[in-house]
Amino acid sequence: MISVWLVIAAIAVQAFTPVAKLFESSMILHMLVQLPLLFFLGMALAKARFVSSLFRFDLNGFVCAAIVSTAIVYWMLPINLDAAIESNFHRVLKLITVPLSGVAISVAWGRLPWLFRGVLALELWAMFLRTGWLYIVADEQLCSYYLQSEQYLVGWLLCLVGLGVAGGFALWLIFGNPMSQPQAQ
Amino acid sequence: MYRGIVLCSWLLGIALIAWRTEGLQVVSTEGARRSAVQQSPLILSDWLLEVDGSQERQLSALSAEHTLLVNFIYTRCPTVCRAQGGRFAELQRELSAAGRTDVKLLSVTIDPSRDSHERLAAFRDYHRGDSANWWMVRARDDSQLDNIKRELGVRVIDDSWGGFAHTEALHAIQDGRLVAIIDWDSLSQLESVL
Repeated sequence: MISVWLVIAAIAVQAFTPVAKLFESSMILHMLVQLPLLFFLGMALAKARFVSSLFRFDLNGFVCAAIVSTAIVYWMLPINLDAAIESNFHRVLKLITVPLSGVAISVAWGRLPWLFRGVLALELWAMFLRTGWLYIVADEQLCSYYLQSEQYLVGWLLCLVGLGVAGGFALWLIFGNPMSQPQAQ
Repeated sequence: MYRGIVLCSWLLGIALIAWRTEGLQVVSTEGARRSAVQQSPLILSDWLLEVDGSQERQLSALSAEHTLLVNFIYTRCPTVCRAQGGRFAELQRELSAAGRTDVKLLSVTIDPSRDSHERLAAFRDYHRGDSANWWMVRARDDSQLDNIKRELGVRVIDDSWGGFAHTEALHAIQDGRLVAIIDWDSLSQLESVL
């Protein structure tokens, strides 16, 4: 129970200006460190029974899958990265919805039929590749606060992450899951 | 019941993304701004501008008499602004040839602490611009410049080389209203404004 509050504190502290400014100071820190960190903190939260029981109604995990898919697409868009820097509303929205999607994927993974797990995994790495490609080919600065040179670098890193996730899933399919399932129900 | 909730959750997700991206048309703040201006012109404050070292002029007076095409530069800029200067001079010659004396080109400096009126005039001279309808502009003070940048949605960030990365687009202003934001590679849009 204490660890749950620690995780919540680790999320909440990112709402405060110095920490928020640190993460928002560069596109790499914002997109490739803070967003995954919030996502993994959400996955850690899902281990608490009272958190995952919020989704007791989601029998087959399809609502959770909708939350994950929406949140990932939403926070990959440059307009929303800008909004998270400019407005406190969007900053807080990010700190709620990204961990929520981490909770949701943990819950959904144990409940979704195997075919839909595959679709969700595919959507995840395809989204990284799509967004990476967008950042690489865009001939203009897409985020108001980040230079085009960094945007280009983030594009390539996103593609690498996408390929890494795809490769990870391929290895998992071939050799089995090296770790226990996040949420076996 | 459960199927209904699932359907609603997916529809909500899709609707949210579609709304935020205006039907997958807009992914950046800049794109959203252009789209908003295209749909309805934005009313601007009555900025006080120092035009070519003369007395302060009000935007309302300037834009009532002329269509203003505004870009943003700084004279130390080694790349983008130099290219824009050349394009501005070219645009000026085309407008003069077409007899459009009602259209004025304004280059506003984003670095007023370094860009004196003399430096700005030298920038224009370098590009063989004509002061009759290409005006070099300084905002009255930093807060005025911030106001202009905010209202026009101009982005200026440090480029980590001691200069700035900034919006290159042309901003068309008529009667105190921002009526279009136009890219240099789609200047044909100017025709609809002029």
